[in-house]
Amino acid sequence: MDTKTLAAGIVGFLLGGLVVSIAAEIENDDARQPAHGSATQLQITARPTT
Amino acid sequence: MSSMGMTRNSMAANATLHCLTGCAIGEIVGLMVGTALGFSAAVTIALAVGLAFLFGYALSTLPLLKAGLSFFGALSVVFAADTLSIVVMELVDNLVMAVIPGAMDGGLVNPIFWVGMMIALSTAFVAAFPVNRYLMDKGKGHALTHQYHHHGDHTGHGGAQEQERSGQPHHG
Repeated sequence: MDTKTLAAGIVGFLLGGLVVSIAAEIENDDARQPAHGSATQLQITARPTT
Repeated sequence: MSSMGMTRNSMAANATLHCLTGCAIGEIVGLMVGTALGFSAAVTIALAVGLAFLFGYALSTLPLLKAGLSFFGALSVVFAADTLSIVVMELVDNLVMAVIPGAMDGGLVNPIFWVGMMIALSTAFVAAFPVNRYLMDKGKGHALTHQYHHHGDHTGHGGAQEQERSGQPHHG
């Protein structure tokens, strides 16, 4: 097999690995955080009416 | 720069790429296996270096076997031609991987591993290029293997060194 073909295959493999790892990282970040807004919960207290 | 200098640079670049391809296959497989199985950095590097030499030599030996050399004859030519280049590549490659924070212990799903690998292999190419150029100028390195390759396979090869050695007997 031609050397340049093999080298192109290696570059493609590395880029593929990078894309997959970035996708996995984004997936992990999504799992750790809520879908919207910040991770801290809002405290809502109802004031009694007189 | 003269056309002869450019030809030699291009020959050296081809030789370096050829060497790097074999090294990279072994290096990537070794680092992937070591990282996936959770080996320590030292064991992972040892595995990667071993496989890089194995694949590097194999990739250079196969064309010589096809050219009709005996196994040990081909191996002796390849040892003489590729060893220094592979040593330089492996030193630089593993050093770069070791100094990039998180590249060795982040796992395969860590983008730093893949970016680190790209940086390490690119740096290894840059480091090994002058070595191959120097060896080629001295009639060593990949210049030793050129005489066994078919002329049609390597366009642009065949500088002064090759013309000088055209009358010499084959190695092995």
